Amino acid sequence: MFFIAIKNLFQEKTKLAISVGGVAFAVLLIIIINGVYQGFNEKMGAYPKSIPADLWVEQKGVGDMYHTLSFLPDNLEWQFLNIDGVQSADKYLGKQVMFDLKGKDQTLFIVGIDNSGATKPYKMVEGSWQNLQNGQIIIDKTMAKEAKLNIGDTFDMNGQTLEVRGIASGGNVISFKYAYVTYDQAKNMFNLGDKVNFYLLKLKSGSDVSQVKSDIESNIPEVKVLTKDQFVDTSRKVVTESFLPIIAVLVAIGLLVGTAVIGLTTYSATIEKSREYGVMKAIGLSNSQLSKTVIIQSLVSGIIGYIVGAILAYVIGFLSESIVSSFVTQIRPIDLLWVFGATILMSLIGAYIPMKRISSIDPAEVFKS
Amino acid sequence: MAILEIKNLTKTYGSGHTKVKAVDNVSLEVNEGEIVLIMGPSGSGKTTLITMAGALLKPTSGDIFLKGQDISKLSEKQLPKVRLQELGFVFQSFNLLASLTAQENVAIPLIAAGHKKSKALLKAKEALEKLSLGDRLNNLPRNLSGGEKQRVSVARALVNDPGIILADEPTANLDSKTGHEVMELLCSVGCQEKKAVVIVSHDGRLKDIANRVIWFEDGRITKIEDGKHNQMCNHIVHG
Ligand SMILES: Nc1ncnc2c1ncn2[C@@H]1O[C@H](COP(=O)(O)OP(=O)(O)OP(=O)(O)O)[C@@H](O)[C@H]1O
Ligand SMILES: [Mg+2]
Repeated sequence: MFFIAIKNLFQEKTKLAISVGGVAFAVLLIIIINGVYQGFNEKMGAYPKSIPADLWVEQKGVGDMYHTLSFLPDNLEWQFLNIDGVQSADKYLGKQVMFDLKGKDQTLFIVGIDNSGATKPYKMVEGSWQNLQNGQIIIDKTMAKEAKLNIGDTFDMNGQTLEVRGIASGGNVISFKYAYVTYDQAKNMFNLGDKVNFYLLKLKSGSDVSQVKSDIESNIPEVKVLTKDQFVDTSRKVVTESFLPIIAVLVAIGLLVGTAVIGLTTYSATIEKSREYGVMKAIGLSNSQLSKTVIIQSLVSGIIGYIVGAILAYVIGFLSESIVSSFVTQIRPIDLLWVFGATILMSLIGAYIPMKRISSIDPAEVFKS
Repeated sequence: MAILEIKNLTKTYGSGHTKVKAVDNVSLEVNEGEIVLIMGPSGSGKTTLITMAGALLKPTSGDIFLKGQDISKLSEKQLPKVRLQELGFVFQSFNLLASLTAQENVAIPLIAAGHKKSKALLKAKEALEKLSLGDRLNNLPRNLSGGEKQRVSVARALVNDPGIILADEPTANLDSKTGHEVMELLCSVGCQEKKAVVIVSHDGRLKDIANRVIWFEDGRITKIEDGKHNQMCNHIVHG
């Protein structure tokens, strides 16, 4: 029955275009929205993920790096090193700073770095992070582009003059951008006194992560220990929690639009051809054979729509990323897969009412001319 | 041998005072190779009768035996197979599928019966060549003349080798010349293909190809005449 379906489908080019367009729109919407979400999610976790630490130690009762600040005494290192399995302990200073740059609000997440490289920038594109001096800063390339800053330029941040020493990439997470100053400068800037924000621990190879974790927590009562994955996850939750409902609503709208369009066009194509379906029934085709032709029509237009929509999503994602650098989309194979599944579902739901309609056609009608 | 045997067949539409007895206690036999023409005024129940014989409408009472099987007792699920294998239909308005070529239209019953598409298309081609439509295989119905369309639909009706062909007003939409060609074609379906043929028509010329002409009025048979089938057959066979 495949070829009848295909012939019917391609004979009605306008209808085919409408249902392909409808599905393509839905698929495009879903993939882009989801891609922006995933891109955001990925970016959010990219920097903490790149930091070579096995465990993150924070103040007990603090959520994540971005929402609430964690404060720990700056003299805990030896206590960590005393615990079996801990190889090294580095201090981490990081805080969100807002200031006015050339008349525009800028939000940076400033990280203090030292020559150990424990908290070095995600990726350098110009200059280097080694031997960073007080009064110097490494900024993200998106900030450099937006504010037209080059290496050697200076700018004012809340009363402090900073010289651009290097440019890094991968530090643009939409609501803020990473920037890096020396450890001492960060400590001054954040008014930390004898506190630090986190400790980053590396473990000796072969040590049991959960054992070390519980040893630390029972020996040093004011800390909470997170594995690297846990820490990256809590950093991402900032995005997940606030955006997920909106994403879900938009995806649902996409699915509804796609299903409605494919359903309506399949239905109207079925109504228009109802006499022909009657003829096929009279000749001896069974309801299930005719249902198959409807399902194939709906599936084929759905799949074509999916391909068109997915290609458009890639093109639009690529174009907008190169025009607006803070617009990051990440289209993962798994997303393409579930959207494909959703397309198949849309097609099957869209075919349901037309199928019901066909099974109610009375073949005796074909003798009435 | 009787291909079609109708016994005490009755069909009533509606109920109460809108009740219509479209077919009223009709009995009839049609044999292999025999052409029966049913004539009668409008509304006399001809289409209702042929629709029941075609397993498309359940009778109110009575039996319809097709090659000995009582099709009036079959379930909805069993009927498509009977229509596909034992019955061939020819309609007044041809009823070809608009998006398929002549060849594909003829292949449909074969594909529905489970033949591979390639084999079905080959058989369809042979069937159309036999009806001198070999040069029209890839035409869509809209690019065929009325006579050609009706020949394609006869080919479609014959392609699964059914026992009986049912035709409702097969010449009504054709001019008199092409109508005559279709008549001759139906005649040879009887004398050469040895099919039983039941034709419903107002077209008196069809008496020339019928073995029997049955007159219908108010759902009943009122008169049976002999047709001129044998003369026509001789004429076709011997030119
Ligand atoms: N589905 C139906 N419901 C109710 N009445 C019907 C239905 N089909 C046919 N009838 C009635 O049954 C009677 C016989 O109709 P039928 O179509 O069989 O006549 P016919 O001999 O084929 O007429 P014509 O020569 O005009 O085609 C008519 O009175 C018609 O109005
Ligand atoms: Mg009629």
